[in-house]
Amino acid sequence: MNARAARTLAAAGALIVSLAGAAAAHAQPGRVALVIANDEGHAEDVKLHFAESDADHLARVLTQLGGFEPDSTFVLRGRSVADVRRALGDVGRRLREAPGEPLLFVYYSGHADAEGLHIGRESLSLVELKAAVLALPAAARVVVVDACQAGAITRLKGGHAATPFAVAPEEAPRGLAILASSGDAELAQESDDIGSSFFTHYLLLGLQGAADDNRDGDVSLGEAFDFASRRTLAATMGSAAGPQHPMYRLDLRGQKELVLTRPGLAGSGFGRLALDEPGWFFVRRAGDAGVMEVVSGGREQIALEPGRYEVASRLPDRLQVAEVDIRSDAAASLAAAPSRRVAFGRVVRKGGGVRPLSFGLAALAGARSDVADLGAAWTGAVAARVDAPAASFELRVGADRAELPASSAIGAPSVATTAAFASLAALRAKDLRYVTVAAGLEAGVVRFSERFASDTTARASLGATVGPTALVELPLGPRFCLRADAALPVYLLRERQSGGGDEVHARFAGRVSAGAGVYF
Amino acid sequence: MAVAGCGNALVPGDVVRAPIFSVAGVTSPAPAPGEALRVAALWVDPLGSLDDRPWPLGVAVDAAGSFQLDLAAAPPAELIRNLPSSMDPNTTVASFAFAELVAFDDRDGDGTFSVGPIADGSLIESPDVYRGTSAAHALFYVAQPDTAASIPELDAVIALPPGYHLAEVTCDPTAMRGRFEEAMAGAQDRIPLVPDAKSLPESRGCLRSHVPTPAP
Repeated sequence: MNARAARTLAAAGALIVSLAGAAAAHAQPGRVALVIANDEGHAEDVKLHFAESDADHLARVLTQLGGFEPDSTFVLRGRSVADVRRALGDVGRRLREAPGEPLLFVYYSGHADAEGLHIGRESLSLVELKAAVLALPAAARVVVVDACQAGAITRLKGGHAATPFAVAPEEAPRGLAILASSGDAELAQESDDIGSSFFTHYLLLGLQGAADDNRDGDVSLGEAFDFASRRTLAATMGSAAGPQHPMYRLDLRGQKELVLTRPGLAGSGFGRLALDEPGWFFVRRAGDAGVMEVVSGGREQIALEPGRYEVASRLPDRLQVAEVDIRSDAAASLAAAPSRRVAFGRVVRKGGGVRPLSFGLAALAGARSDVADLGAAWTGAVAARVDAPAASFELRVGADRAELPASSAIGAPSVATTAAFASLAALRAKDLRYVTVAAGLEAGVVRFSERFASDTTARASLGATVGPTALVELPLGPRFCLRADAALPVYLLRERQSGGGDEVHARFAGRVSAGAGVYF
Repeated sequence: MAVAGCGNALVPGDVVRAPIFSVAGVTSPAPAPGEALRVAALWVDPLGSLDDRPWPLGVAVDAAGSFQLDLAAAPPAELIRNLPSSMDPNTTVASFAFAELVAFDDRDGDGTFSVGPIADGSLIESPDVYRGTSAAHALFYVAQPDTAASIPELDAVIALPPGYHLAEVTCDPTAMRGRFEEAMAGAQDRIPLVPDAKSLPESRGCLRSHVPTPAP
């Protein structure tokens, strides 16, 4: 055994040990899984972000909900082709030791092409993979490939585009099922919003209970693939890379359905969330970037790892967010969880595709400090804002009016100065528990109009402004908010000099305002 | 920066309030302790038809008798006298304003030296008390220079470029007429104080009783 192989097996062993502590109570000894993932591909492949984390997630679901014992679940992340070949040998030995009619589950997530898997800089041909799987001593074999052009593996002896998938309930399932995340000329896509590849995300969601169409507490291979393929196609329909059509090849026979997971069974270590209200839900675990999107008819249950979850429900006129504690082997009801309406801007910043942008309008009134010794001003403005996940942009248009009183001692006239301004602010917002704070930079133009008491005409002059700005916003439900703004603009103005002539000066000022806003 | 170059230049407040003309001088003697002595420009109509009017507020005289009257703007339009052409009454040949420098005891503390209508004899409104007039200088504001030599006694001043000008007065006491020429730059005014009076003395007629006649 060379050093690399030793490291591989050590790593696999470490994962097995880590999973062992969380072994499900309903482990089925005859189940063996090989989970392979590699974020890296060939030199020309773009590095993936979620392939290896998807593999970890799948391994947890298989061991907790699928009855795969931890020491029979081999996980290879970022390993070589040689490591995969060795792992296939280990899997074979485990299968030979397994009682009854063992089930083999092989999963690959990473880059691929129509010829083979890109495991790092090396390739493992689809022909070799399929032959190796068929050579393993299992009664039933399930191969899942989540990769670009994965459909090619289903075409090694002909495949089918995904249609409703069912296994005839005849006898114990035997044979080979191949599930591919994409067509043989398609790209398999990842999403930052869900923190996963589309196909694996929906496959996992299905395995966790969302695919349990007949509500019997078990998720069969057919239910899982049917759910994952439908949701993957729907989610990628409008994507830049185009729709992704999962494919399968099925050579299974048997009286019973091939059950992959049992999310409804107690003792798994997972908790259950009952989506006992119909709706469109986005489920996010506290601290996780990814979001699970579930459409519920009101009777769905999904198995979740213990933790605190935020469940956002997108309703026609608002967003409702509930926080739910999921405890091990306990069920929690969404309907019973306290919920609150949430401002659209906050939802946008959380990401997850619940809402890509939100728009708002606000009316503000406030004051500005003295500029050019012409006096402090009352100010009024309207602001139109677009909130995106990473930043907000606000167009502000307003006017202010300052009055420099006459000086009777020297005969200086009073000066009324009206300033009309328009600015664009780029803001980075942070949502705190009760308020949203934002800070950024504002730049714009200003038109001063000076009217002297001693003269009937007004002098108009243009200037530029730039400076930091900040705001605090108190949401009042999803549509309304109160807000307070502050800014420290620098005015760049061409000014008359007391000795004659003009010069451009920078004038520092402060502005505060408060008002109310509405979101769309 | 490019935007900041468009339109007119903004006139900052400090420029609005910067004096464009100053008259400095002393009273003789210095005010008595506790006396609220001020000096004001009292704008009078050399044609003798408009009421006298102080503008701006009077400036305080310090204990040593020094004062400086600062002016930050042109006089109000109603203080400026337009001289019509004798050939065409609708044509203005010159526009100017004329002021005496008057010292007064500001007994009501409002800073203003108020004078009644000319028709009533330009009486000083109580409780302020007239304390003197500069016999040597008068203040002019030229809005439109007189290029037609309309008023020979004033032309040396009102033909000057637009703006304030301090004029030196040469008074002929026998004729009660004054002749006005531009004072030297930096000239210091001197106001001799007189005993308290409630009406302007006859001597100021040297400055104002002259009724100029537009040139034919």
